[in-house]
Amino acid sequence: MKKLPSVSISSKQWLTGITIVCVLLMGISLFTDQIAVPMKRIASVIVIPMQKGINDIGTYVYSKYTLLKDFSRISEENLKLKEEIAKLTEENSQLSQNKYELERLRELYELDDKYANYNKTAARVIAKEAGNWYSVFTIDKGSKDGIEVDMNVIADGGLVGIVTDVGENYAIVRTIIDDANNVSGMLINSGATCTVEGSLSLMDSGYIYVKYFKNDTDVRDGDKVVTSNISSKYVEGILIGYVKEVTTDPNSLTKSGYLIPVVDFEHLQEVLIILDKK
Amino acid sequence: MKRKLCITALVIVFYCLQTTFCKTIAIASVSPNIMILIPICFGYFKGKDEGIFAGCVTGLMYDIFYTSVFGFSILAFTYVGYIAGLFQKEFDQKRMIIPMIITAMASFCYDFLIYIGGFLLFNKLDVIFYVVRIIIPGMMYTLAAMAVLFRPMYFLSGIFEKKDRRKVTEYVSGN
Repeated sequence: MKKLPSVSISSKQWLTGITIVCVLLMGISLFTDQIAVPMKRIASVIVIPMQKGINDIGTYVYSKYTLLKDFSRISEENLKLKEEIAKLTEENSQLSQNKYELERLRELYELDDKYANYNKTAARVIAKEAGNWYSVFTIDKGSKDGIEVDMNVIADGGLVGIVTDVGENYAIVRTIIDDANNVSGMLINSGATCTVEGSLSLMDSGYIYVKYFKNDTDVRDGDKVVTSNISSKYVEGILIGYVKEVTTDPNSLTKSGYLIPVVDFEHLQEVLIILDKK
Repeated sequence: MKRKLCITALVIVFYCLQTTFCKTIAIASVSPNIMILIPICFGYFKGKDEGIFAGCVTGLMYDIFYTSVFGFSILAFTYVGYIAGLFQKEFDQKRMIIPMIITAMASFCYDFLIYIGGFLLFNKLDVIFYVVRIIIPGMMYTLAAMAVLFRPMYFLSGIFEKKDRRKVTEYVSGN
């Protein structure tokens, strides 16, 4: 908003001006995603460290809060031991925080073993999309850590999503449960291909859609679906989830149903990024 | 100018809170939209011009990282700020009914437009589900956030104003 000191512009004129500029920007952004790049660069310098900070505080407070809840329950049961418990809690806080960290790191390490043939790097989830519509999050590693667009992201032994945007100190990941996401998958036992589609409308059940199995495919509940060998962006063989209730479509050419993802998307804190691209 | 910088700083802080804190207090995966409160509050406190400015900055911040159609939130929030500014003459510190109504309308319309652009056009026709499950809960939660933040925002606006006024008096006395 650069306002020339001598000219006064009425608010209606401002409004018209902004409307025109925005409509133009929206038009251009349908063809290219480069408009916001310089602004992203500036904003990321300020915003990403702040988000990281708030996130750290949040993790700290949450761990304290869980401790506090435990503490109050125990103290109700054992009023006499209150003082001793207080002392122990203080000590415990340090230890359990370490333990929490240790458990998570152990989990990550196990995961590491499973996909040992890919190069990976771990990152922390620091922010999520501002609205309620899309399942997109920001991680605290970017191009200076070797992250590139289209790299696959995994956690808990399963596929989380794909990197869609990279800045110097951050990267944006779109998850497989997002409506805009399609993953080419295949059944681990027969190699039959299918498409995994994210869906907001299934958010309460925790499922996503799995579609376009050929009608002659033998699919049973609990069959594992992994990323397929024909996918252009996803590396082969990452577990996506387990099939549920696959039935023949009304067109009787294809079958579709639901998929239970392996990853717990509600509580993602750390993820691994596969540095090998397809 | 200082006031504008203050608003910009506030927008950045709110953005960081929106993407971190608001996501942790989400109920059933729906979180309040505290960003939209900035143009509403500043428009309502100080009039159309300020509403437009606050809306523009808030929308820009909202759009930078996540929106695929760059410019949509800028446009929407600018109008929210302008409309809130139209009610400035009704401003009364003790009556919250008008900003609450504006918040409800703004939140509903903004989310509904996103639904149309991002979902309806992609053949997700179940309007009622999205309205009942996402838009209305989001609106209620945003209203609750407004009820909590209205006074702090008024207070902040007052602080920003003091800074500006001081500058003006300095300027006048300097001449």
